[in-house]
Amino acid sequence: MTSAFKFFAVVGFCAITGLGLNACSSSDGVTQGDIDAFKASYSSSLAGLSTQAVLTGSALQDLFDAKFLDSGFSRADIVAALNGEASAIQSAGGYSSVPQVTLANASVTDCVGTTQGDLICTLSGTLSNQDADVTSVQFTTQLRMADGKLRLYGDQLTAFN
Amino acid sequence: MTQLRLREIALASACVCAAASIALPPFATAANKAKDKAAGAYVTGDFHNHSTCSDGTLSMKKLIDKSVNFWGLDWFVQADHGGASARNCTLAEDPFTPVTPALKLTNNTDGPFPPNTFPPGGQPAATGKGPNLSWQSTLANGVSGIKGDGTANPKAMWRWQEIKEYQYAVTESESRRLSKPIWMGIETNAPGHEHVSMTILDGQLPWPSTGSGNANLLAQFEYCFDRSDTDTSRGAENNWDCSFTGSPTKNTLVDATSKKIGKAGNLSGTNTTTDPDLGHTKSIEAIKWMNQVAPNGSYYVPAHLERAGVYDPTTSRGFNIEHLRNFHNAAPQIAFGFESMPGHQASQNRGEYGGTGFTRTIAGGTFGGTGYYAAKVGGVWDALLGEGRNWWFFASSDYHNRGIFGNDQLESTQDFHPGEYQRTHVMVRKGSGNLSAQGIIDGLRSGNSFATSGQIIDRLAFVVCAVNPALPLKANRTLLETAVTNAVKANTDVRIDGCATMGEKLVARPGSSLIVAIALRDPEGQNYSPYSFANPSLKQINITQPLNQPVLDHVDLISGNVSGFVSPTNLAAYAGEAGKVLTGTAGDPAATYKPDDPATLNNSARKIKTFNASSWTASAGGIRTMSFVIKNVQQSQYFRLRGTNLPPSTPNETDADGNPLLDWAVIPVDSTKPGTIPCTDAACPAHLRTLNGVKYSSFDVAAWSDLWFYANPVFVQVNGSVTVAGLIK
Repeated sequence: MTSAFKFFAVVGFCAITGLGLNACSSSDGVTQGDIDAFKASYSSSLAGLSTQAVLTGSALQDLFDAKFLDSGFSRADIVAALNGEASAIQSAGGYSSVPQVTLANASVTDCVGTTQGDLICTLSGTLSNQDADVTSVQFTTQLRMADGKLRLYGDQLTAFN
Repeated sequence: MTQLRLREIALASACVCAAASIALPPFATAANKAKDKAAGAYVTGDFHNHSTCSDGTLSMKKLIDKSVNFWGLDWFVQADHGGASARNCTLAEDPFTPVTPALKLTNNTDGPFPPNTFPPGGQPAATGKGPNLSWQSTLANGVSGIKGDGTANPKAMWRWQEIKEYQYAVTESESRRLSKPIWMGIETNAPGHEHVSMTILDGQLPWPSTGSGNANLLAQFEYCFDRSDTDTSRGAENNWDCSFTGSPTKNTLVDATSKKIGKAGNLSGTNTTTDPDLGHTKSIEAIKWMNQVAPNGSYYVPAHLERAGVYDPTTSRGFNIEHLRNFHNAAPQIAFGFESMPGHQASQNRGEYGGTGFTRTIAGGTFGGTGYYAAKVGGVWDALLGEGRNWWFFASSDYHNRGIFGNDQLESTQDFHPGEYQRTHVMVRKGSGNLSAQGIIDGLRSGNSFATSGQIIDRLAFVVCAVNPALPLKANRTLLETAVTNAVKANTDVRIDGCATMGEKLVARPGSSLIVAIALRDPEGQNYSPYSFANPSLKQINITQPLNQPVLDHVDLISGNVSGFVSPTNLAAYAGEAGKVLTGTAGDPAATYKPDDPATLNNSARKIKTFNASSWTASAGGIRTMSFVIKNVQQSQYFRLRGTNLPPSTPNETDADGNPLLDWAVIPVDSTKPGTIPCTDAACPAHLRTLNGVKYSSFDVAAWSDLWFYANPVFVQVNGSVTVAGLIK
């Protein structure tokens, strides 16, 4: 199944990599510091997803933008799921019921301004599960820069099958 | 059967079960932590087949050689009928030269079939050797070497003696020679019913074990519990007593002389008009006995269970759902499934279901080669899964002979060799160790297995996982699709926390979302079909596909709710008949059938997704990968798979929903009735049913045309919903 990001009318384009700003200035809205902060927060959240502190903590939940929509899941759905997972872990004596992953090689690129006034970037990275056999995949998703922070924005699609 | 008698049996089963101490079996439990699961591999085998020690046509050695050596099975259980036999199956054919099967192995293309001598000199030789010679004529001490109280001439040897003193040694020897787990089982003639595939491994020492083992417990089982064993000698010097501490009330049924359940006039201890349901009681006792003496090394799997029709308390016939529930209640660690994909797939009446031999076959016959109990979505199998029972689906060859063809020929009008057409693929966790018979039995018990016909697929990875809410859904799917694809490439399964595979249950929180991820391999190249002409079933819909190069058309994902264990006291929900023939002969188009009783149904079961070339991802080597999202689960449920080479709405084969149609209609018994699917290719073989000069798809061609696989289920237990228990409480 393919998924496509929702089309945005391009207002401006700024290519930013994890290595640093490239032909952009801080006035375009995304700094290296923003990127580093997002990567660090998201990576550590994923790594600690089997703990209640991370699941219910503001750090992870605040990584989801208010306009988050991904395959029909809204931010409210995600927050409810994270809180629900925290309760389940407590009941299960600390045994998580979801596959755990780590994030590596994360990069933020292709930040594009939209006619709606949003600044949307692409997050790419490698997800890995190493419970027994190692499974690694490349993934991408969208981020939104708002209120001085990069957050997960999703594919903005409602369909999931 | 009166309601009162059925209630007595059901209650008796429940009471004894409640009183027994039952250890939780290692199945239908929450998926273990991934790091605690040893690495494993799917291995193929067969546990139901016949030599000349019952009604087969091959020696044990040649049967094993064909199955393991030629057709390449990884494991093998040699399982003749219980009872007695005059023939010495431990003598190999002479000359015993493994013969590569081929088409038209005769010195005359017009027959005779089977060929008089092949290879030159004959198999078996005309004099002095061969598995068709009698025990009486081949034992050093002649008839005096045959124990028990048989009176036929030549004297038949009871199966218990055959197993204990002669057959076991052959399997142990062959197992060591071929470096594969090969051991003894029995297709027991179950009291009160038809046949059951069973084994007791304890005592046997197949490869990779060393030393000298025995099949004494298996032999004792045969004496004690097979209804065709009417020997009263207590196994001669074995002095067996079939009563046991786990069943004090049933021990009162044990005959004082034979020391097994039975009596004068009913030495079998089976169902009769005088002793209704006695046989079923004895079968339950058999399971409990196995559970007491060998709880880990045993299985008890009803075979071709729809063939003989619905149950009759006054004779030994079929199995209704309540009997399967009773078996499972007695020992879920031992009675954990059925062979609803029977052998005899090349028979005129496929599976030997229906027709003049079996006029009462449930629902008339097989459906895509599978019996009604498993083929019907929402039928008996789904009813059992809907209780959360660990009840698995298996296939086996039931090899006897090849009909009008010789054992070394590739045509068949009756059976396929073990491994040639049907295979049970089972996960065996062995880490870095060797494949072991106990590991195979553990795998069968676990439910991490799938069954195939015609090599339509040869690998499968099937998991249900919780969605990680911190990841985009597409990332979840990509991760899991990669995991199942990697697993198929390695012929293993997925070991990821938060995922469950076949035979396991995923514990999920209410409102969570799930991903079903599947990868399989549709092998490239040719399968074992000897025919390369176009599949006549597909030719009807203008698809040209060589019969020996089948292509998987689609995979159905089927789901049903788990609503909890049915109490034996709730007779309306516990007991009933499905597919009962009311008028006419099973399989005849004019036959009528009784509507299925509610106890045999799970109305929540339905197909929720079909994957095909437009929705799966195809990758190199014939691998197909697919996934499906289920949001907001609230109800405990299960998921299972089936797949086929035939599109929906293939005339005479599948309906619009892709369900298999009755096979029987393809090969009508009455020769005055028209043929169904013409086989018009010039290469269509001479042995096909021919009417007015037109050949029709039948026998082995019909089987090779219509291929299926069935995967065992993955359960999901939603917290706060029904517990997937797998056991009576």
